[in-house]
Amino acid sequence: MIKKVLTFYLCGRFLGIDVTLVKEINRNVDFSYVPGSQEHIVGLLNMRGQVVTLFNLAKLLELDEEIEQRALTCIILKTPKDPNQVGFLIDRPGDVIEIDKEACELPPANVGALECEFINCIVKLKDELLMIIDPKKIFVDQRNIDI
Amino acid sequence: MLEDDDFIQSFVEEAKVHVETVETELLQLDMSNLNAESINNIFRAVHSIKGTSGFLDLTKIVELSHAMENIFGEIRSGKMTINEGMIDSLLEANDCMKTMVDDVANSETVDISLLLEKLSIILSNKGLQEKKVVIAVEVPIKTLKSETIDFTQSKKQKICDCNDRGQILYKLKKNLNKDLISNETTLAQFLIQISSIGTLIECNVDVDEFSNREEDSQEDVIMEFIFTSVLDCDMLALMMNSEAEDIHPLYLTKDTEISIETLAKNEAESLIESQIGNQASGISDTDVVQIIKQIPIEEHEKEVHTGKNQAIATEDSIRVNVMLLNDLLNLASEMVLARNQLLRTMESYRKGIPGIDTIFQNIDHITTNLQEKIMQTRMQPIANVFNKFPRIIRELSKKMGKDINLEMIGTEVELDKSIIEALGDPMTHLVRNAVDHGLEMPADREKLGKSRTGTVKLKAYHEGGYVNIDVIDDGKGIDVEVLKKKALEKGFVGKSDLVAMGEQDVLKLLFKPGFSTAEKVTDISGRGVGMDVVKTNIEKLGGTIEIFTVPHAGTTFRLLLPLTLAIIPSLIVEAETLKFALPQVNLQEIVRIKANDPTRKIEYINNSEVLRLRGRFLPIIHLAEVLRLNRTYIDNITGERKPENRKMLFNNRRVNSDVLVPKDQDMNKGNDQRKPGMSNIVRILVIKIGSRRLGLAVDAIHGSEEILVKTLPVYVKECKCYSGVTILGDGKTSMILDPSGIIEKANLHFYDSQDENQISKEVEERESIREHQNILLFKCSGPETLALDMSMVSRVEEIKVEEIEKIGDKEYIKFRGNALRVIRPEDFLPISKETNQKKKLFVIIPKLVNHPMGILIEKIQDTVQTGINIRQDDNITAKGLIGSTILGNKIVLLVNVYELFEIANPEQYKVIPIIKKGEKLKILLVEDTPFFQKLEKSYLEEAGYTVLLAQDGKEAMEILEIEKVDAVVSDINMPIMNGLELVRRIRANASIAMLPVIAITSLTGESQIKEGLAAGFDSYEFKLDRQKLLEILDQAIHKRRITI
Repeated sequence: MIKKVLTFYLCGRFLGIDVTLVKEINRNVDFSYVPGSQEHIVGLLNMRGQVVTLFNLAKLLELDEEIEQRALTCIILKTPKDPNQVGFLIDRPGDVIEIDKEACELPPANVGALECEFINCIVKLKDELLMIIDPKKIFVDQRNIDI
Repeated sequence: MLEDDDFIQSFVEEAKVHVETVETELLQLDMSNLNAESINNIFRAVHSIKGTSGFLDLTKIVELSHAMENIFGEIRSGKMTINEGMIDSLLEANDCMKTMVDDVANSETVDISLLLEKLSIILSNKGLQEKKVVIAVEVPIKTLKSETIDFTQSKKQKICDCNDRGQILYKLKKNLNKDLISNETTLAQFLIQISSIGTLIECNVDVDEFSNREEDSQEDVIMEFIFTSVLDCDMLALMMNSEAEDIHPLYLTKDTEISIETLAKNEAESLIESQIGNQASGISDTDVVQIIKQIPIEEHEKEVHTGKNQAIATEDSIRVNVMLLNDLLNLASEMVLARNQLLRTMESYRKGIPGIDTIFQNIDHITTNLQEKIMQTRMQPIANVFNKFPRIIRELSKKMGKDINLEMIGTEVELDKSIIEALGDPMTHLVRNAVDHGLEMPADREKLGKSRTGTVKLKAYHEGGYVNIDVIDDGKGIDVEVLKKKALEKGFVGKSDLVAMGEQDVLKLLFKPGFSTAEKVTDISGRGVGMDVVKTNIEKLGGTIEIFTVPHAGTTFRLLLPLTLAIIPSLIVEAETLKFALPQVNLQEIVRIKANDPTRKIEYINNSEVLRLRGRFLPIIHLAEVLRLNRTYIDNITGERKPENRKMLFNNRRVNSDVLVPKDQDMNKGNDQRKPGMSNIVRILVIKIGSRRLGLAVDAIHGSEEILVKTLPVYVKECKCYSGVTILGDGKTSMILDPSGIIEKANLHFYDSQDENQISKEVEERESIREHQNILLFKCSGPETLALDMSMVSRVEEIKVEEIEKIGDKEYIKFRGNALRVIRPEDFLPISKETNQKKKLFVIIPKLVNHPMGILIEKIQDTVQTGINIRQDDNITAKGLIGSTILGNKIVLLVNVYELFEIANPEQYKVIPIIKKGEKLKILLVEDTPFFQKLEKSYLEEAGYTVLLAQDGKEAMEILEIEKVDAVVSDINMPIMNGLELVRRIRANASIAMLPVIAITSLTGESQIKEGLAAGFDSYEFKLDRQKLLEILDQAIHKRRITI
């Protein structure tokens, strides 16, 4: 089984997301900060009249933010039938690559619990490892965590 | 079984409409005068449900609808009369239908046997009305014959195929002998003829008619040909040598599988449908699914009923998914933004491109229109809410044994869909309340001289950009005294507060959670239980609720609702470079505080900032602080934003900074030039939510905008400070502030300090209510400035000196063809007189006087609007003057027109004291404006009355408690307690209820007069016609005396 994955870079990590879940990639987004919101929420973005909540993925994954470049590129996810649109900031997008299901594996035991929770699987590429994130777990479930 | 979801979905949507139709029509049925049209509507609705559900194999729905259809079939054919009991059963059945339709998937599991039984009992009782059947059948067959024809499966297919190819189904009648044989055409030849122009489906001989005939009849055999053709009626008639009226097009309904029917003509309808009704009973039993119903079409109606025209007359509305509409709305507003951007960007090129301006204008216009239209798509008639009330009222009236008549007015008024949806529960509550607590039992009503039937009126109408919905009952009204007692008992208010509370304030207690005046809380409603919920729900919609009540006359609950939820006017404010929208509903005023302004400054109580606003403390909170934003300031030298570390930002604003100098005064003096946020000016938004007021300090105000409200993403809900999101003109999102959330977040504790509030409220009210008078300032020949209230001036004419003619010692001018006497005030008033050689003069024509005279003056100075304080220590008194006042540092003499005229023309203006000698009548004059108070008092006293004075309703009530008076003359618009409330209280108080009370007011609106009379005034007079006032006062006193 071959799957298409959109790769991107965040805080020096090489991450991927199932391309069928992505609606669009926006560069130079102009979002507004929401005072009083939780710290992993960057702000709200106007995407052609729809309000998109932008997340700080690095914070959610507890990545080291020091390395983050403040480039304002974001990935907006497809959320059919859900009025709450979500997106997250990335450092820069990579490519859309095809991966074989064979090459996927669940995170090994020594990977932290938090990361495990948000990571769908890890792809063993030829010369590096690609972590496929699970946006559903990260963003949709976020509502429950918030409450 | 349920194969095609799309079909099911559209069935459900359709069926819901039908079920609703059945319900409304059933409830509207007037037993005494059956309307054939409504029975038909019901029948059709049930029939359609049956048809479609049969197609979808929903057997239970079919069974139920079939049973209902049978009954309506009987009713409409007149074989059965409908009665109350039947309606109940039918409603029950309809409810069951609703449940099944709402949950189609489980409709098969619903037990309907009991209902079916009930319905079949109803049906079997029809025998009692058998007589009517005969009458129904006796209608002339020639004009109104109808029949049904069963087709076999293959023929049905054939018809459908032909129809798809655009052919129309026809039925042709021929007399075998007369039309065919006498024309030497054999039947076979005729059939070939038909086949040449279309497809022959069937050929019948009307056996029924044949067998009915007398044996010796020489009549012809009627042949019926059913065929399809693309030709129209007239052409066919020509081709086949027949009369056009013999050829009838049969209209195919969209459910071809179920029935093919021509549209029934109105007058024929009920009869034909009866046959369908009969026929229908056979349908579900057999496999025959086609019915053709047909009526002959009279010649003059032919054009209307051709197949083609039928097809055009389709529905004029379509169902659209709400999501789609919302998306459209989004896109439209986005379009507006895009347009703005386009216009902005192209601004500099505009001159370079010829003709672009018109294009821009066009785009501008279209976009605005587009947005408006799309907004309209969300509008729905209020009937959607109102329509369930006939049912509710019916049930309530049964349950409680009250006769209730429901009136609904303005059902066509439209409101945004979201409001319509949210309105159902609060409205239901109010209606139930009106029935349960408002209306009395029929017997009690009779005792009070009211009709046994109580009325509940629902009235929707537009007023000032809002939609008002009134829920009116003509019941016993709300007893304010009982309310007060209850409020005391429950500890909602203190005794001292209660005294100061006006009627409206007391009524508002109803909305307090846990307040109930009902002796017993019934299962229908307990007034108060849930009233708070009603209020919150209405307020959530951006609306407000008002109560009006008159003891024994009824209560009105008025809901004021915005037309649409989606767009609200709001103020765009800024705090620390972030923009926020504040809904203007909550905004009372904006206070601008300049640094070093000694009159307006922010003061400190411990560490809290307060502002003295009109003698009251206003707590000040900073938006940035509530939102936990880091404070910044703009460095004067570098122009950069730097973090602000000081806490008491306003301390450097103190004028007397010696004793109470805060510690950080020691800071570098240069720092005092720091600007919080943007500038040296603090802007405070005074926000009011209920009784709570606070000042919200912001850095900048960007003006007001109509914003489109978008729901808050779930992810930021927990911030509490926001009620939604919007997109501003620059395309960025902005949070909509929620003032109550801010209060919560800022930890503000409001005390219900009624006393303090009340006092300042009174002051405020006095300020605002004081009637401002329009005063005409003028001069006669001397230097004195005279003044006349504009309400007494009809017009001012400019005249030339030559126009004045002297007759004897009196002066006249020609005015509108009549001689009008003019007088010079200086001749009669103690003012100086000079002879000026002025060419032009002015004549003031007063109004509200019986024998008008013009007042000749030399100069019009000004007209001013002001509240007049007549000087108390007035020593400028004379007949003809009310008194003096000071306007703009000058003494102004107020002229009393009546007295002036009386001096000038004693015969006609002499006041004849109305009071007979020896009789003493005491009048209580309630008036807050000193000018009118004085004037009215003088009028009354001249007429011989003794006058007592009160400043407002409250004072008046106090006087009434200790003094016996013969009549009350009251203003309407007064602080603390207005005239309406005063009269209501008088009428509610048994000991003084019969007192004559007259309103004298400057409120002249038609509705206000009505309201005034409804409140209990004997009559309603405008300010200020002396003669009229005295007349009506006299009348009122006499009338009351007679009734006593």
